Amino acid sequence: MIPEKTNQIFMQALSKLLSRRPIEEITVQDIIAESGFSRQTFYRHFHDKYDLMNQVYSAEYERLLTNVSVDKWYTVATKLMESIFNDRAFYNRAFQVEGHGSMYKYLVEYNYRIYSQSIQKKRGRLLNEEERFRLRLYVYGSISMLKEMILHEKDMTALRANELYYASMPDFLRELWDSAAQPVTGSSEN
Amino acid sequence: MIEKVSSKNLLAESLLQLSKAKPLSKITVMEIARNCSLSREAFYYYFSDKYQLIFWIYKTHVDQFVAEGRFQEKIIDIWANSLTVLQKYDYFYIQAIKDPLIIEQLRTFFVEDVTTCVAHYNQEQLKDDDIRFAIDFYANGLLQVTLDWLKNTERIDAYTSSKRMCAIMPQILKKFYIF
Repeated sequence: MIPEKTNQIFMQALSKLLSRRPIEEITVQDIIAESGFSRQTFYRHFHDKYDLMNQVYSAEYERLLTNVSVDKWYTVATKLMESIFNDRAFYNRAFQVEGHGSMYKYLVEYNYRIYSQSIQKKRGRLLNEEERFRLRLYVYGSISMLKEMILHEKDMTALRANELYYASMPDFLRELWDSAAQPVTGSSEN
Repeated sequence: MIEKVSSKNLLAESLLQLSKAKPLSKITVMEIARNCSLSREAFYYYFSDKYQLIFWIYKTHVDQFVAEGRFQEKIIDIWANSLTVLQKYDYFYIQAIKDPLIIEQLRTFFVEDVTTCVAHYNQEQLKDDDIRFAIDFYANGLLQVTLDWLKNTERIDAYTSSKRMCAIMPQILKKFYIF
């Protein structure tokens, strides 16, 4: 079976389990039983249950960036936000994880990586120190806000949230959001 | 009044000194008090626990620049001064920020600080959603880059760092600060 398909089945299994209880009370054994795959297959794809949980986000991001490549990045980001808001229950559980496997940390690292890679690809040069700093501050701020919106169930549309993000981002990131979306592979370690 | 302030300062000095040799989490209230010849009771007269002392130290360090200069001085200088004092006591702060409870409190301080600037300009502005979002967004970003900066062994200088923090301020907040 193609890997994406397998990943998807594991993610669906986890989502189902997570709708009933928090991640701490779910074991890899439960996920395996729910998915129908073997333990071996699980560990071929994920380090642990937190890795699986966090990759739900990146898989969705990468799916959107690949499938809708005619769209602007901005549009993709809005769709991603909609998809997160539609799955609030899942993200609410996920954002409650602190320390190892924390979704907050994963999203900070992931977003930083795909933004810096995409900007580099687009401009054909590395980000300088100043830009890296600005990107880092933006990513921290934006993911903190996402976490807050999810955990405190703020009533805001995806469109509105992205307007606010857009207004707060550094110019070079705004250029990226204004351009056509390109596929990325941020979850793999280069 | 004078005596209260100085006892608080003694306890602060005592904890700062102890933290040079020992992890913060291992330092007891008893040790802090004894190290400056005060009693445990005296400690609890001023602070309800060790955390309250740690927060007081932070506020004292940073407020000497932020609270007084906030509305007259350039923001770049205020932050550069704040970072410089954090740097001076980095042995203390590097340990402190390992504790998630302390980070949460710092988050509150950062948000409060940006909020105060906005409110000072005009209280009404706080009702604006865009501004509220920008405050939280910016304060969280500032906190994290400050933590990163403190943890970094090859730290860039405080002034450059402050300059960068200013450069990324959301447009909507700029009118609340002096540049």
